[in-house]
Amino acid sequence: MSKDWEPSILGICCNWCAYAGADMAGVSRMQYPPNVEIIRVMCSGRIDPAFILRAFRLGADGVLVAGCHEADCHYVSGNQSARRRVEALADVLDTVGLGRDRLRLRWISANEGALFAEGIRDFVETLKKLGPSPIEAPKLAKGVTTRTQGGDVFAGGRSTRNLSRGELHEGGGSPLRESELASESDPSVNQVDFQALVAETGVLNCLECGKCTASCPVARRDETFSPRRTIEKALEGLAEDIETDRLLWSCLTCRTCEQRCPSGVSYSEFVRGARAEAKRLGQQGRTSHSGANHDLMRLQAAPKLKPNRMAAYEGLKVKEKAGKDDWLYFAGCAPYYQALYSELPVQVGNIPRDSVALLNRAGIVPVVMAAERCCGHDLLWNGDVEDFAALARVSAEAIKATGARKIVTSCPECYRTLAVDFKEHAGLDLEVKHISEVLAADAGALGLSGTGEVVTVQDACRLGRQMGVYDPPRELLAAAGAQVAEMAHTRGDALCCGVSAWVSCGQCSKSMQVARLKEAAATGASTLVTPCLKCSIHLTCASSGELPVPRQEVDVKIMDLTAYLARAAGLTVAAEEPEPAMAAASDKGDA
Amino acid sequence: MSAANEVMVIGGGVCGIQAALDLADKGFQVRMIEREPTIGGRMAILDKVFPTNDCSICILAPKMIMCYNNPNIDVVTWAEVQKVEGKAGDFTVTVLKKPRYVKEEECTGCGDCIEVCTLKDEFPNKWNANLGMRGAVFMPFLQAVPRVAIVDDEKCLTLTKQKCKMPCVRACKRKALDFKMKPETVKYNVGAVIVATGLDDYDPSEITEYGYGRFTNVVRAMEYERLINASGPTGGHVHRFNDHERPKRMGFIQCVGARDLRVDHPYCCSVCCMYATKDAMLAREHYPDIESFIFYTDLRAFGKGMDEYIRRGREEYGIKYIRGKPGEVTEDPETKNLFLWYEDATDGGIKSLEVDFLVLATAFIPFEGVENLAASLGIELDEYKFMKSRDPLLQPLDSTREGILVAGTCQGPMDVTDSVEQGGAAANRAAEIIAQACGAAKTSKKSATRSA
Ligand SMILES: Cc1cc2nc3c(=O)[nH]c(=O)nc-3n(C[C@H](O)[C@H](O)[C@H](O)COP(=O)(O)OP(=O)(O)OC[C@H]3O[C@@H](n4cnc5c(N)ncnc54)[C@H](O)[C@@H]3O)c2cc1C
Ligand code: SF4
Ligand code: SF4
Ligand code: SF4
Ligand code: SF4
Ligand code: SF4
Repeated sequence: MSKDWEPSILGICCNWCAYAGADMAGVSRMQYPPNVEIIRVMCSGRIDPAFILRAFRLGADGVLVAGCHEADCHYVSGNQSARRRVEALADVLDTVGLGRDRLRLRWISANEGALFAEGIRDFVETLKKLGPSPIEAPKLAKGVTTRTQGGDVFAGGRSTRNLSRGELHEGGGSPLRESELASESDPSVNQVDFQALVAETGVLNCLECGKCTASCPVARRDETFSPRRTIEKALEGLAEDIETDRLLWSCLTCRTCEQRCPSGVSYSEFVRGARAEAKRLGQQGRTSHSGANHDLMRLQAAPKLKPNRMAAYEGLKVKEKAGKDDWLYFAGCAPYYQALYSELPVQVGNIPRDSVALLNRAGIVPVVMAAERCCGHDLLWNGDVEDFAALARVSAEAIKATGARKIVTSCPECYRTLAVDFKEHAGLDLEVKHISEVLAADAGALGLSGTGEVVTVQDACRLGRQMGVYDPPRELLAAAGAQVAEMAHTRGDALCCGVSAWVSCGQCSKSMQVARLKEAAATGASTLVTPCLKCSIHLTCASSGELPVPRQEVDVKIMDLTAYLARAAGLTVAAEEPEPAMAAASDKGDA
Repeated sequence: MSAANEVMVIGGGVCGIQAALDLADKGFQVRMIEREPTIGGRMAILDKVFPTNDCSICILAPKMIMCYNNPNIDVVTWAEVQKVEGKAGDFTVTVLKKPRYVKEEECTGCGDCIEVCTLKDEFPNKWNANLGMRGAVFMPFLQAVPRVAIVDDEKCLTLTKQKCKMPCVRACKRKALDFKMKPETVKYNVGAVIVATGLDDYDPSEITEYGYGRFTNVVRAMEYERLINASGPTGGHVHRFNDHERPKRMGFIQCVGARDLRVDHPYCCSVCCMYATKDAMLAREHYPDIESFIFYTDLRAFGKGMDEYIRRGREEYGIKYIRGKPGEVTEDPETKNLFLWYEDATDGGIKSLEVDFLVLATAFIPFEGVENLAASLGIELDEYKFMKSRDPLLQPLDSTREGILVAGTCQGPMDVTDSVEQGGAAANRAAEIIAQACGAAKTSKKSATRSA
């Protein structure tokens, strides 16, 4: 730490109380360190976790969230939302290795200037003890800065901050880097790449039969969306048309079209490539949840960051270094999503624990990495290739350092990414398997006892259509004595959960989710078992929200495969049923 | 008789029959080896045939009988080629004659045994696209040639477990049944071989989006041919399988498993656009109020009279042609009607069309077991397992082995007209090969220079 290092703090203050309090401090000429830059929002309830994560990703050492005292919110309960979010985020920060102490929540009223000044002084002290954030501010192109400059930030209570509002609000990617600006000025590069993309993804074989569009669950719900038409444009060389069209971000890359295309056109890979091109052209793209998930991934690319994920494995048998035949268990984002989506009745936090418990039962003592990072799948499929590659390289080094030669993962996206994309972008070429494959190889060893239930299975797009794994989850459920009832769309024809890589979520997603839940409920199954935590989250989101159909039509419990198996193996005490919080309020029948 | 005078034709479909008849007319001796109990091949079980819409078996049956009765042709059914040794002009072919358990010379095809079989109508009959039933002793179809019964040794109770009172034996006035028959291996000496083993139609169960095998009222074209055929399992009345009502709105999906890289059939079958039109015409002829919708990728109607045929379909028969491949088919669980989801290329957007019956025009694929046959013959197959021509342009009928010819749909998809032409051409080519071989034996300089 250099001697003259000063922590930089982003303060996000509500208009009515905290911001006025800060103003009061300024007007009253109260002394407090100039380390904070302030953004004003109308209500602390408007503070999206994305704002906070983005601030950290851009190098902030601390973030202060400040609003009205409880019961004083100008919008009744906005500050309570803020509290819930900050508390959830504090857990995320602990796990990811930043530590909850870098995030503060303060209630400050309009006349509490002194309290504001004192709060900042205290926060600066704390941060000085913690030292600089392990995440460095990205190196930026000339004229674009993100790091607070100190000194002149406060003049009469007005912020002249550089961290532009736009960056926090837009759902998009990282600010432009120099290399990106350079390639933008040479349009020919783009054309060449585009032609290569067209050739590589089989677009030239298209017969224009329209089967893709007719198969696409998005096109079924959005008339303006047609993969066939995009392919047609691609054949006409209309690269820019495609790359600047916001519909490029509507595709779920679910591969239903591809599964059915007679001509081997790989539309999802085409979209992935076109998104990367679009990002290079400076397009913002789209993200759900204001990009919070993507920033959480981006910030993990910082090599100095030391996540700590060991808490999940307490009391289980795990290793740090691999012997010749040892599996490395890769858990994925489960703990983060459990925290980030804790307002929904999601149940994904225990996936790592249940997975390792099941592996132990199968006689496998896996290697786990305390500092495991996200696989970056969502960055890659959102077109942020450089961000993905940076993250993948750090992860690949860590994986290599364990000495493991094979990886087992409970997440279909990690599976695809580690098996396919790490090879290309991070030079990691190991055997990768989904946990269902590894467990199904010796299901007898798991000591599963008959549940006797009728269940149905979601075929996650990454696991099924991308990696071709359909049977192992079914075999395991059968071994657990469950009777698997198939939905109307199953295996390669399965309906996607409606959101992929957190790119877009809207009416179309909700409609797909409801359709899927209806199919699940129609089988008569009590439980919809999913091998993918994202499917689980998205479907849970739909089923716990307002429904366009009577609740009984979608009434099915959603459970992760590992949770189901762990329960059948007697490895978990039956978790309490999450109360569907909105159930009573939103039962609106056919409305 | 010298080998030089004799030609073997493997496969007794329309192509093989044409080749055999032409050779017999030229004075050659022909051994026709057919692996099924009857000759006739695919055409024997089609209903009508484009482009004339003639009744298929009506035009084929006379040829089948002519072939069987021709003194120069020895039709050996229920037999398989095992090995071919020697060279052009002098091949020794080893043939396995499977036991039929019915003496061909004695049986009159009266059907008395069939009527009394303990297992009568217990098994699906593949000559009825498995929609009709047969017993352990049976005849493939009414016009089978030879018109002789056969006992299925995998099913018959006597042959499998010695547990039947054998009413068949008692019923047979000619004492034709003989359960002691054994397989027999025979060697034939021939100068040339014509392979005309035909095609199979693709089972589209793995194209899951169209629901074949899952949805009640989805059939493949071959099944439809039997349903609309007067001698088929329903006496020519097409009906839905759930309520036995006749369909009123039929859908056809083209190129199912054809021009499809997923199942490794990138080729066009060249016939299904035409036969779908035929099938829709036949429906209209049976039921004047029926509507048909054909979903196609491209309408491939090349050659004489074909485009006109499609136009007639559109104008005279009211067939609606829709460009586009449906993405999927869904079924109404109650009515068992089907919804075809497709992109409307003219208006844009996705539409669904409700039909009450769906016919899938499935790909032509090589006959099952074709690899074994090719290995016994010592000839090569192409990448899709069709018989390979030595030169597709200039020697389309020559296989990769001198003296062995390949004709008809075993070397690629084609219609009846082309199969017949190839059969005839192969007969000429065989005669030529034999002439050359004889010439070579007489050390004639002239003929030795021209090699096949
Ligand atoms: C549903 C459908 C509809 C059609 N409609 C029409 C139409 O309307 N008009 C038209 O022109 N064409 C139509 N066709 C095409 C037509 O059926 C073929 O062009 C024709 O039957 C090909 O004749 P072939 O002799 O080459 O083969 P096949 O008719 O298949 O005969 C081959 C014979 O070889 C035998 N064989 C196979 N393997 C062996 C072996 N290893 N040893 C000995 N024998 C063997 C078989 O048992 C069979 O008897 C249709 C095809 C289908 C599938
Ligand atoms: S399904 Fe394939 S061949 Fe057909 S239009 Fe779409 S991309 Fe082209
Ligand atoms: S990948 Fe999925 S969402 Fe995208 S075009 Fe294909 S079917 Fe539609
Ligand atoms: S479905 Fe719910 S959890 Fe999933 S992206 Fe949409 S809003 Fe978020
Ligand atoms: S012996 Fe065989 S063929 Fe004869 S009646 Fe019995 S089962 Fe039928
Ligand atoms: S003939 Fe028509 S239906 Fe058959 S494969 Fe060719 S284009 Fe498709």
